[in-house]
Amino acid sequence: MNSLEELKKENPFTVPEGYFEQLEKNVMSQVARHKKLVLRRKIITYSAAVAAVAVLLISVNGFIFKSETPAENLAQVETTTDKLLAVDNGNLSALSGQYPEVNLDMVGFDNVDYQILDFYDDEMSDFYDEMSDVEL
Amino acid sequence: MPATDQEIIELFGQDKTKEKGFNLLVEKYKQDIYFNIRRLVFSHEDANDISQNVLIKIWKHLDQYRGEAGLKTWIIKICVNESLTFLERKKKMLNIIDEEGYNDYVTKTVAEDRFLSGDKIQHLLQEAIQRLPEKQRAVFTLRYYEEMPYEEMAKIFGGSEGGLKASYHFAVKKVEEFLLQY
Repeated sequence: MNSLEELKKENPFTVPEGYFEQLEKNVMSQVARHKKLVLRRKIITYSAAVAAVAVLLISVNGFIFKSETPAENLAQVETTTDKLLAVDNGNLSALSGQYPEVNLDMVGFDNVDYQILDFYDDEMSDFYDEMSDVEL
Repeated sequence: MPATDQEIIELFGQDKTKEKGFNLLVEKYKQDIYFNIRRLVFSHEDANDISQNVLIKIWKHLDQYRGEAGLKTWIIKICVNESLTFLERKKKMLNIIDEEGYNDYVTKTVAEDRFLSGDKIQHLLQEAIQRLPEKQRAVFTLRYYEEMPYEEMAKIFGGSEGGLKASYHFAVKKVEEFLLQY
């Protein structure tokens, strides 16, 4: 033989009987397994995403509303009101002593103790009495 | 009558008919896939493993096929790449470091193969082909058995048509030199 062209071109390879039918079956069963695997992976990914969003929402909710349940909110409002009233009834009287020119009617509190004004007037009349005794 | 490539691609492109499209592809190309791989790796067992891998790869990646080359060329490219990767791994696994050791291994493998028919000259031709370097073997088998145009081959190997022609020419020369010894 001098050249490859002189050689008859043939396929010398053989396969076991029914090989190609079996190959097709094997591949299709692997494909079915792969499909299931992909589906399972999708479900896991989807579930993880849903869980992550749920955790995020719960965290954000907790952060925004902290421990403020309606009952706690009400208690907080009541405490604040009490404190304001205490300022009104106690500290405000002391405040008016320091700043006699403040017209308490302008402050706007309905339950202001007006006795402090009487006290103020008494004190002032005593002061005027004392001043009148002073020799200029 | 086998389905056309267009029909296969269209069926594969829709979720409902994807499996049917793939089934048609397997029916149409299973023998091409197997024998192209078999000519490169020689052993039936290895060709069987690689064929299954190739078909699963096609299932996973056919939606990425853009039609730059024909479907058969695209499939054969996967066959060639998978076979070359396999041969590289096998060579390392067998710890064959020199050409002489590899040739001895090839002679033994061809002599012992249960799934090889044909006369003595056909066996010698297969031995000569198996002695070629892997990439040159792929170029030779695609041109000699498939009569694939160099233009198509360039899409598989990525080189120039001139380079592939030269590679085929050297391969033919080596094969003829080997056959002349007998």
